[in-house]
Amino acid sequence: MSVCEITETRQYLTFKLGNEVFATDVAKVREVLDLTPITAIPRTPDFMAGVINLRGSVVPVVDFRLCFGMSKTENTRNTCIVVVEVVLENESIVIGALADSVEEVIDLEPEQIEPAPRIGAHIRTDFIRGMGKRDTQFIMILDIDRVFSAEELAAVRTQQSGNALLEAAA
Amino acid sequence: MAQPLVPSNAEQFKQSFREEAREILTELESALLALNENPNDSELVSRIFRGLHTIKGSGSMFGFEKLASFTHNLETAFDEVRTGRLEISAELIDLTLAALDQIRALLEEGAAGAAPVDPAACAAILSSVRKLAGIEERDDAAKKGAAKKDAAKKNQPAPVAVAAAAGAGAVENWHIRFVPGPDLMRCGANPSLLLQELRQLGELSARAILDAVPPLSEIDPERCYIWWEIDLATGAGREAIRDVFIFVEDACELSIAAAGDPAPAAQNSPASDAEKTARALEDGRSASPGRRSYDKPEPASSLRVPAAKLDQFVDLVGELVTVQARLSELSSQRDDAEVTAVSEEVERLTSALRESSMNIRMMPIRSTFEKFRRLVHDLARDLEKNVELTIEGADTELDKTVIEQLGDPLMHLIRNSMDHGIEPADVRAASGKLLTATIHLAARHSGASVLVTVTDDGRGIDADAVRRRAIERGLISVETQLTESQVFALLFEPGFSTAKQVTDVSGRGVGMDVVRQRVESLRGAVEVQSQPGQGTSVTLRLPLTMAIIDGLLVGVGDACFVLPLSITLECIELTRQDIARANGKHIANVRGELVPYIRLREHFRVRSRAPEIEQIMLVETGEGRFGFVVDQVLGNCQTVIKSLGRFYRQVQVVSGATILGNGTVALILDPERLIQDAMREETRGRGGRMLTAQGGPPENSVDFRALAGRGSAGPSASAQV
Repeated sequence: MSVCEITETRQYLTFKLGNEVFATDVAKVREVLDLTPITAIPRTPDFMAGVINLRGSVVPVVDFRLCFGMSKTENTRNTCIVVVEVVLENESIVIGALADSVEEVIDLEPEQIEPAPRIGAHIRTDFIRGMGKRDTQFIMILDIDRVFSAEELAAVRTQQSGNALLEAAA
Repeated sequence: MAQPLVPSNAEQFKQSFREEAREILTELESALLALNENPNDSELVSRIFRGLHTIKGSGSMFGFEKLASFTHNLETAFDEVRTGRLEISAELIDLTLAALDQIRALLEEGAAGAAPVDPAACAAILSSVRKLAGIEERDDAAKKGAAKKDAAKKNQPAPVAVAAAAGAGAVENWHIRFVPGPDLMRCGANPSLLLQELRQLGELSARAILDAVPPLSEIDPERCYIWWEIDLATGAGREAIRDVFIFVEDACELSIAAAGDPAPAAQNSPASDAEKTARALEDGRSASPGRRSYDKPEPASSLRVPAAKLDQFVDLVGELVTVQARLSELSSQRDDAEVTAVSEEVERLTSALRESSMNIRMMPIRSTFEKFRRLVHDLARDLEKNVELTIEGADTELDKTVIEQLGDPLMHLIRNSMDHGIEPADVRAASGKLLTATIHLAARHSGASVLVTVTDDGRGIDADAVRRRAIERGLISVETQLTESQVFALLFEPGFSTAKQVTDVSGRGVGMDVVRQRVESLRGAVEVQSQPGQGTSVTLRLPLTMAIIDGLLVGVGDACFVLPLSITLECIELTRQDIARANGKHIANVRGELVPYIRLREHFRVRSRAPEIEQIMLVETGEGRFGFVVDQVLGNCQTVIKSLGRFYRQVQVVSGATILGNGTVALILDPERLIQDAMREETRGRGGRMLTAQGGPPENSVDFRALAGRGSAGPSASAQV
């Protein structure tokens, strides 16, 4: 999906990873949780943070910062889990994503969104559907299905496979 | 003749086959219509073919002989299409649709209120299909034979009791007393079918004895209360009569006497029991121990509930448990006697509710296993082989949906074993094997998986033949290098068969394809092990998506893990001195026995500091005895297994997760996978982590396999499909 497919006003949930503001289509977001205890799964890549209990179902959680090549998420008072519904290999699954803080829900007109720059963004451009402009701020709109697509996960997995293991639940 | 008031198990099986077949027919219809639009879609052709194959297979298994042979012709036609020898035409599709209608009619035949089947229409469709498909006369001949049989059947006496009239030749009069045991119908046998079978032997007159039938309110519908006195005039002899009852012999009292023989000993005969029974019924209690179970009131009613509702129910209970744990915590802080009392009451109720909710979805695999007895028997007769079916672990409980999905794959595996695996008697004799071949069906828990194994002692799989065939079929090129396990994996490719000729039973290669599809749809795996000349064993590894296990909660660092309690043996202490004494080798001395262990702390790279005294949990696995070293053992727990989902499906050492009382998630370990994982790591010797403290000359490393003893049981290949 690319920016040219964004043709109508939509709502986006914005959240911060470090100092960068990201956004995702609100339709993909199920809920936002305060940080709850995450059970790490042994012998998995770092970016797969573990699983949480979401009202009786076990939901996987990824560390968004590690997905995008930043350092591991530190737990602060503002740390949240954004629970999104993504389509993975034609099957809809629920995944939580760690974010440093969740900001707000905003409306963006198609004309406020520009194609992702080929260089300059710190993260892989194919994860970005477009750059939203708001006041003086740039918002990176994520293609969330893409981020979680099997190939992408596999790629991150191989990248990290060397050192990818349980960081002691401690 | 007296009929049971409720349908017997066999009738239930037939009913469930009807339901399944109806679904398949609907699917077939839409696939056919889609094919009309896209005649070149080979996926659709395969789908139709698979559907027909399943109807045929299950049909003959449940005694729908006519339906099976009718479908066989259709299937052959679509096999021609599949291999490109026949083109899809509108004519073929119309014909097939008409045939589906006939299949539907055949399916309902015998059911109450069903329209009669029009044999002329059947025959017309068949002949057109055959003309179209160019099926040769060999089949025609077979068909004629079948027709004759049908005709012969029609000439048999109508289903009313007929007084015995001695015919010609060596006809003898027999007096048979057939007293079904309490469990007869539970095993899937249907007394009325047995009587019908008996009738085919000769003139028969049966009298049903209804003395033991309790009042309606006490009737257990799965139990047979009726017994029969039968007079039979036949030339077939005692053996033939006994053969009719061969499957129920253990589950009934049977006496067969020639007309002149004295009656069997009176105290064993239920006839004299009639009085006793009457007395037993009178005082409402059992009189003789043998009859006790008859009178015990047993609620046998059941009701159908959609599985999704149950899932939701169990989830809600899970949430309730979490909330209850919080309530307990709060009440202990409050120090208010009244609140504490309520909280304790809630706790008690919650745990009871949890237990019963978890039990609802589980059922033993027995019924699925038992229904294959008939299949093996019939196939053995058709193939003229002597085969015995042995069953192990029939009480293994599995999720209901998993059990329902298992029927098809198991049927295909058994058919394959019977047809290709097991050699004809003369070949077996020549190779010094027992004349009676064995097919062994087994189920057991392994971690959070259930392993269902079909083993035969037949000729095994010839890996070279599989390879050659794969090259012929263009699945692999001549140069491709494959390990044995990869070669066996080819067996599950669509349309793959090493059988030289297509038989009614199998050989089209469609079965294994279905097996893989079904098992994968359950997120399971298929493993094949085979030794030429010794036999083949196919293991279906099925996850327990929704099952309960009794687990042992252990702590490593801050994390909690659950080990399946069923395989744990004991727990011993491991001190720092012990570790030092063993020179860094990971072996514990348990009362003189050397047991290799895996330190979960190391294996999972937990960085926190280990306690002074660690615990070794000894477990018994298929690979032998092993220890898992944990920080502490926290206690027993009953766990609802939750799947980790697609996202974590690569994680093998963890078979699932469970939610603990305090609301956190604990991981359920798969001991066998964990050990295999550790062994692999050991073999690689990566980083010398598992080697000795001194930096490790190789002889100091632990050879898990050799120590475990059982691991050396000969070469085996496993194909992970």
